[in-house]
Amino acid sequence: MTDSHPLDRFPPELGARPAERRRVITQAVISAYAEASGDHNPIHLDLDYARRSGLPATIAHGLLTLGTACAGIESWAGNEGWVARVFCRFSAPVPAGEGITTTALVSAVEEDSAIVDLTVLTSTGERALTKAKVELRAS
Amino acid sequence: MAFNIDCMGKSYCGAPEVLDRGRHLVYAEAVGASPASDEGFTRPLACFAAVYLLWPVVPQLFEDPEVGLDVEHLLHGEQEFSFERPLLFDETITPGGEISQVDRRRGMVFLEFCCEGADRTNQVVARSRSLFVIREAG
Repeated sequence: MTDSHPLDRFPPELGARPAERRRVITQAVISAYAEASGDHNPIHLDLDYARRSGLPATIAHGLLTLGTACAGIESWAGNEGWVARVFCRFSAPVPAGEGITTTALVSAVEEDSAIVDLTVLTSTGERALTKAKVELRAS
Repeated sequence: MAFNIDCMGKSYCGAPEVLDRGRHLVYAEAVGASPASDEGFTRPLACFAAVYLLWPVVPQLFEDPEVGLDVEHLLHGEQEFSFERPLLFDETITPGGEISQVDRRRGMVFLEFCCEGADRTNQVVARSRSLFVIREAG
């Protein structure tokens, strides 16, 4: 069972599952991220360039995928916790137009910190990120 | 342009940047973030700080002729961020980065790039570790 409500006290319960999030990473989303981050690598923005690089489409920035997954946890933690550490391995590219689904599990809890494991899958079931974790600290 | 394996330890400095609310709004929309309360975002999203830690210095690394990175064959392998405290809107962060490890094996270069962001009092408040993997030609 996932918890769609923001965290109301810290620490969260061990085994808690913040609400699943699904988001389609359109080219417009990728372009907006490029604008915000300043990363205008053509592999994210230019279809011809991406195809010459052997890809079927432009791909999302890895940090867009990570930021999308992490933002859901920050929204869930609300004013109770803040992100002290984020880690991930980028394991599969996310082409423009692809949906990603993030699920989360609180895997460790201490009085003033908690670890949330993230699973980020594409619509074909491929893991976009592996070993993704967010460490929260009590606000 | 051949990759220079002796580039380990090379460092880069970025100009001080203000954690800007307007830019944050564009970022938040791109990652589909919504604020926890009706008050809006009370502090910047953690990964937004990555923009300020990485992108003022990473382009310098990518474009450095002394390093010779083949960006067309570069993959972002891993990423880690850590923060000493929550960062605040409108505070100024000065980033710097260093090539902290280089390893060449099986036709690939593994390059670890570490960044730090310091606040106005020169305290390091955020760190980043990126692993880039470059497939070498041939």
